[in-house]
Amino acid sequence: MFKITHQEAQRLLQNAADQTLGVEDRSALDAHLATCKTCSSYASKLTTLETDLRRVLHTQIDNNLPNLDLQLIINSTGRFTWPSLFNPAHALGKATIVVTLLMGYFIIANLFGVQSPITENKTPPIIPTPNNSTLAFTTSPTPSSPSTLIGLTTQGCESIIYITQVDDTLEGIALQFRVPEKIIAEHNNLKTDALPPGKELSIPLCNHTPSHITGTLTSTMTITPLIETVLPAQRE
Amino acid sequence: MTEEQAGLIAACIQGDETAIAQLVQSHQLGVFRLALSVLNDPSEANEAAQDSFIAALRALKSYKEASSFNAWLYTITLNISRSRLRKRKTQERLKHTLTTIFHIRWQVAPGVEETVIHNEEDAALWKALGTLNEKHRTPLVLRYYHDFTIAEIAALMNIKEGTVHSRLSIGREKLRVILNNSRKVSGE
Repeated sequence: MFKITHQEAQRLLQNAADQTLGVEDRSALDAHLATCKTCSSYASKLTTLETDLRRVLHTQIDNNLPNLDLQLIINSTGRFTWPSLFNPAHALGKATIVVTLLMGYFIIANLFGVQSPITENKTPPIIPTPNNSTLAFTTSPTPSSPSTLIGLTTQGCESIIYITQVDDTLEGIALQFRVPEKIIAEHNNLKTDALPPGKELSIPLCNHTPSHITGTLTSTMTITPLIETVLPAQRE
Repeated sequence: MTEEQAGLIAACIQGDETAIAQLVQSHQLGVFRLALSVLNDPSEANEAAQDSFIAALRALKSYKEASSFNAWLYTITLNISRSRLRKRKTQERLKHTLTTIFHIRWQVAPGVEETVIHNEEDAALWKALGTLNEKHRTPLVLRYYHDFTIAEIAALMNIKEGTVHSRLSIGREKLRVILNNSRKVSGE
């Protein structure tokens, strides 16, 4: 049997506490403890500490009991249950409330004829200009034949056939329809900016810039910009 | 695993509410006390136990029958409880900082309803246990309250057996030193 030091004895005592002590180590430790009062006292204190730890932990923890919400656990497992459909704490319950509110809104809207505020907006279209004045357009219906017709281009875009009037310019038409001049020129094979009255122009709306003015342009009418009346200073 | 337990788990996977209730009721005490022994707060331990059951029931399909169901469930519980403890410590640090800067007073959450310990030695030991850091306290609690073996603690905490042994030794040694010092202070 081999002899061990106090330090080794204390290490083996720690192993013994964790029940990881081999047979040989156990014999060596027992032999050491039989002759060493210091290590024997250490062993005794360690055993007392273990016993006290068990007692204190049980005293402090055992008188607390769980109070789990079983229904919450069942509902949270993700499986569908009818009560979960009406439980605001559950995701399904929240979805039910949202759907019910939306359905209620649509039913009331249909019953009382509530319309979207956008459809009621009949204010005259205005376009802001750099000098903070406004640019107004007048409309003059053509009694004989419509000056604009809606068709489809080869690319499947909606297009408008516009018949040019006296004093019409490409820039003015581009401004009216919110389509770049270049696109109108290319689409109609225009080599120059000159636009004789009565010329048919096909205006593709694919390249149309969104604006609140468009809603008024789909009907049969001609639009003459009154640039001169609004911006006389620029002409000078 | 017994046939009965396997049947219960299969029924839980199918979403059988009676089976889920039975599973929760049969394990809730162990799960709650494990959470409580880590968190030292009954209210938070309840929440951690609930979260553990929810997580376990959602992951039940991935549970391998070869391993012990208890060990699997306790691993989930321990992870959730330790994660909560880390969050709480972060919040406490933040509160401490705010208290220092703005002199705000916080309402202290009630801890374990401490049984009056008549024995002064036991009171000192309970206090000393509270001063240990979590990595040394948890193995001691698992060993001396839950009676887990070193191998089981290693599996639960996902650390090596040698590390468990080392942490237990250090924990016991720290407790011994703290208790010795407190005896000296009290004049024994």
